[in-house]
Amino acid sequence: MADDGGGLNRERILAKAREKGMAVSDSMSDADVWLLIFAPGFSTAAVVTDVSGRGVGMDVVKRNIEGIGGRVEIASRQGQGSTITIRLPLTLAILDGLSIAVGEQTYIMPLGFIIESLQPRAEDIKEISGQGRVLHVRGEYLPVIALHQLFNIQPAVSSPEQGILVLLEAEGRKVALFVDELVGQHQVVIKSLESNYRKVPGVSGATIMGDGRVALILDVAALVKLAQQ
Amino acid sequence: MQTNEGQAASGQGCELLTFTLGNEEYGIDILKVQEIRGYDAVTTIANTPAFIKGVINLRGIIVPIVDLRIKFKLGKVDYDQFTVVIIINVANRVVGIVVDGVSDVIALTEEQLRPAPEFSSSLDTQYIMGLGTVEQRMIIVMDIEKLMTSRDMELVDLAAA
Repeated sequence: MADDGGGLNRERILAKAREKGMAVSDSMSDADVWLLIFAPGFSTAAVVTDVSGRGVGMDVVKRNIEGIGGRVEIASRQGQGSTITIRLPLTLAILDGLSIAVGEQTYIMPLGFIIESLQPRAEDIKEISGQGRVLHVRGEYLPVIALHQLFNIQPAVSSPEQGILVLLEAEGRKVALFVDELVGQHQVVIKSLESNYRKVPGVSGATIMGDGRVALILDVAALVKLAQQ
Repeated sequence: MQTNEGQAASGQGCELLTFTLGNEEYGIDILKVQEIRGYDAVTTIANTPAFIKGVINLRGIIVPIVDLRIKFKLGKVDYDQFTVVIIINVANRVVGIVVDGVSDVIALTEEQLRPAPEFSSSLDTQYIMGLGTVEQRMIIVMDIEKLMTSRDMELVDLAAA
């Protein structure tokens, strides 16, 4: 999409960002400055109505497009206009995923939710009143969810410092998912479980792996919710 | 669907695939059977009843596998190269059922089919269409579609059931 309007105003965006206390500098590249307009609550509009100018629109656009695996890019020249490029994946049936092993089972975790994975030191895992565990990582305390407990399966390793913690972010919350090991990264074709079976809590679908076996795709947002119950 | 089964069970009779569960012989409408295959490794699904073994990859489609031996508490539950899975087509779904063995295909006429007596509540007779007699063998004719879509099989979403 391109227009021949005024284009984005670099100075106004930077001034507004400073006003809102965002970390900006004059040496930022244009592309980085344009990205600021996607920040939640960011608007340079002088007149704000009930719906317009509240800094919601571009934030929602970016989040939804990235939610289905796409990207938004802006090219703009002041006084000449802006070009907004939206890239969408060709198909929603293929998913980039990380395969993880728990016990004898393999699961696929969508890459988009994963922040990082790490093997914790024993002293980074803390118990809270004997009920739950938290992981201390870079000043944050994240709840540890054991996938084998959620799914009632026998794990190969029982303590997090022998396994792997995958840090996930879903719906604004971060959790550490405890699994046995990481297997590898795959692009998988999403198959429906519901066409012949029914919806399974914590699972968004299934896929067929290279060896012909079925692996279930984890529904990260639902797992985070399940763990809180 | 009800009328279809009614016709199959009455009138000219019907053809049944018979299989064994423990010492009992069961029959299901052969038109519902898609294929018979061996038991492969399944992918288990968390937090499901024991008789739902999991799902398999049947030439690119994901098919749930139900072990009727566990469901009906019949027969010894072990899995070897002789374990048989009957792939059936019911209610636009593909489901695999594990049985002890497939015996025969028989034709049953209306005269050979007797209504099932009422049992106690432990055996649910609503899934039994009748009892057939062929050469001194008693065959329990099962309404497989009704069973597979029933609430206690937990195969379909409750909203859809």
